[in-house]
Amino acid sequence: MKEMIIHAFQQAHDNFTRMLAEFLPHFLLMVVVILIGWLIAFLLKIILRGILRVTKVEKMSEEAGASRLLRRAELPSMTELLCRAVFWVIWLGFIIVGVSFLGIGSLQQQIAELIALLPQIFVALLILFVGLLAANFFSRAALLAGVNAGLSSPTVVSGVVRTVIVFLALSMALEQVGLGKQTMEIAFSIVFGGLALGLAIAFGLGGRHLAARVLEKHFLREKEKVGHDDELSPL
Amino acid sequence: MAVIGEQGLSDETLLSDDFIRQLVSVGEVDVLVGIPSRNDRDTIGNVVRAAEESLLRNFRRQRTVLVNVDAGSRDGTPQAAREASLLASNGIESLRTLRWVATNAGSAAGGFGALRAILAAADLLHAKACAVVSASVEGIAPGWIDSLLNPVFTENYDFVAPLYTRHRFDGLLTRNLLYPMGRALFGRSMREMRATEFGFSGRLASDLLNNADWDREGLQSGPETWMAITAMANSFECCQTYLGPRPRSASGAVVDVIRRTVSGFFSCLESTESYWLKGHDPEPLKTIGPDHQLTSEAVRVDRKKLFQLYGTGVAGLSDILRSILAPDTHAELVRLAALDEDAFRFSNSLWVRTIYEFAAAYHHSVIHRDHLVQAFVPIYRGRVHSFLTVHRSDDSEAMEADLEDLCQEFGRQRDFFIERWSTKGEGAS
Repeated sequence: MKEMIIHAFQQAHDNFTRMLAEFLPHFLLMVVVILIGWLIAFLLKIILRGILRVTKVEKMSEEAGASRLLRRAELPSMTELLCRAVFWVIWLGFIIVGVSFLGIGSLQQQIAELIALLPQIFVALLILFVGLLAANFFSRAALLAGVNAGLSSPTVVSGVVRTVIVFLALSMALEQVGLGKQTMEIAFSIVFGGLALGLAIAFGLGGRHLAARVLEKHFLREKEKVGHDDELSPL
Repeated sequence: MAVIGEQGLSDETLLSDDFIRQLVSVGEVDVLVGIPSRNDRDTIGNVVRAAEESLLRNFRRQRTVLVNVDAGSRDGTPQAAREASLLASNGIESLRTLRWVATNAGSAAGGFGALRAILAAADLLHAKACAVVSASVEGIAPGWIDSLLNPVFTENYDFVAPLYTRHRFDGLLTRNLLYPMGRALFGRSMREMRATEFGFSGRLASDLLNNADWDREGLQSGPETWMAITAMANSFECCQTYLGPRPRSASGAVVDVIRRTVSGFFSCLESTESYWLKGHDPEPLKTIGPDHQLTSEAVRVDRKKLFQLYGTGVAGLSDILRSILAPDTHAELVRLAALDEDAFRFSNSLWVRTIYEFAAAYHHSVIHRDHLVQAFVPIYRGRVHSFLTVHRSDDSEAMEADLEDLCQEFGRQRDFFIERWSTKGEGAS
């Protein structure tokens, strides 16, 4: 009995030692890959930071209004954000590759799926970022045009422009990673259709007096063009 | 299209083959009058006749040429110009020669492309004295062309700016921004820096063609301002000459005019910063003929609307203005917007500070430059409202005294501007 127990323990010990002997090199390999990945990602981050400074990305981001968006969200500057994104994407790639060396079957399948999804996630983030930039730029352009034309609610127009573009970018980004494709399409159709219908009803019912005034003003201006200056020639 | 780099022009100067053929057939000239046009069928006839009359009467012994550069008119402007020409219709010739050259620069070229083609023509034909007269100007007299050409032809000036008799409330952007700020930075009292009529020498034309950064942003929006400022900044001999009464023009799209003018002016400041950052003592600018004059016939202006647009603009664009202006300047603009219309006054000091901060923010591109200039429109409207209120019953002397105060204020705050221009300040972070 005693011998059986000792034998069982010895077998367990042998198994453990064998498994450890098999696992340890893989684990060490994983650690080495992750460390090398960190080093490569760090170096690339430094190189990218230098390139972005030379190409004046920060100035472009400032002009497009992206920097202000980032400041508002208490995020780092555009250069820093891009550098960090590249660092994490590269290091994450190495971490995934490193983990795959452990040889765990089910984990490998999950990792393979995640790796396959990485480019799509990257593209989705890019779409979202460009969308946010475009939303900021066009909403500001709409606000300026509305204010200078003397519209009564320029902020509403600007807000609508921003919302539509952000929503469009979001739906495109989610579609890119394959999330809720149909849901997003339906949601976008409902929101966009609802918006158009809402505007049509608002202008048709609520804005009929405004429409009348606009038309009246237009035709009266045609008649009274001579001698009537709302504003003087600036030059 | 052909490149005529071998003629001493910039390699990028593209002129149509037909235009070059016409210029080559003209040979060399002494005097050139350029008429840029775009959809000016109703007015170009008078301009062409005035130019021809001036050349035939005053430059009979010189070789002269009229150059019409049309920027893609769709109303038959080039045909109207030809029909109005005495040369074409009556076969009149000067003692030596008066030639007619016309080309279509295409709608994409705009005023910038038209002016560039005229400069290229002046350079290619080795013209000594040149004048540019817009085809849209009404009430032009042959004397205008004489006045623009003579200082160049006989007194060797390189750039001749015009002076007019104008309504006292016309040209308020020129009066409140271009003239006083230009005077403070360049030290010359050039009143009409963005006139569509001006004279220049062949020397200046060649210099601009060969040395200008033609791709520079903003040059396209204000080529006339650019020419005047470049002439001053490169120490060319400049003067101004009285032309006569300038009829009141339609206000047009004010926002668009301000966008083009302010953007062009600020861009010129960038291209000439090496000159004005050094600081220059004021130099007198020779004025030929009487000085400019102001008239005061009644005009209808909706001041209440201007005040409303200022108030809604400052409120609506608050975030944008905060990124352009220093906090105290922005706070002052907001405070003014809350006042009653009768109590509203936009002081010279605040106006100058605001302009300088806008110019510095444009230089640092704190937001997209076109957006920045558009954000200036409500501020301008506020200033115009205040200007009209203050000067409602003033005579020309009182208005001139106030303008002098404004010029002095621009001069006083010049160091602040240079500091702000050189370093990214508050509000522009």
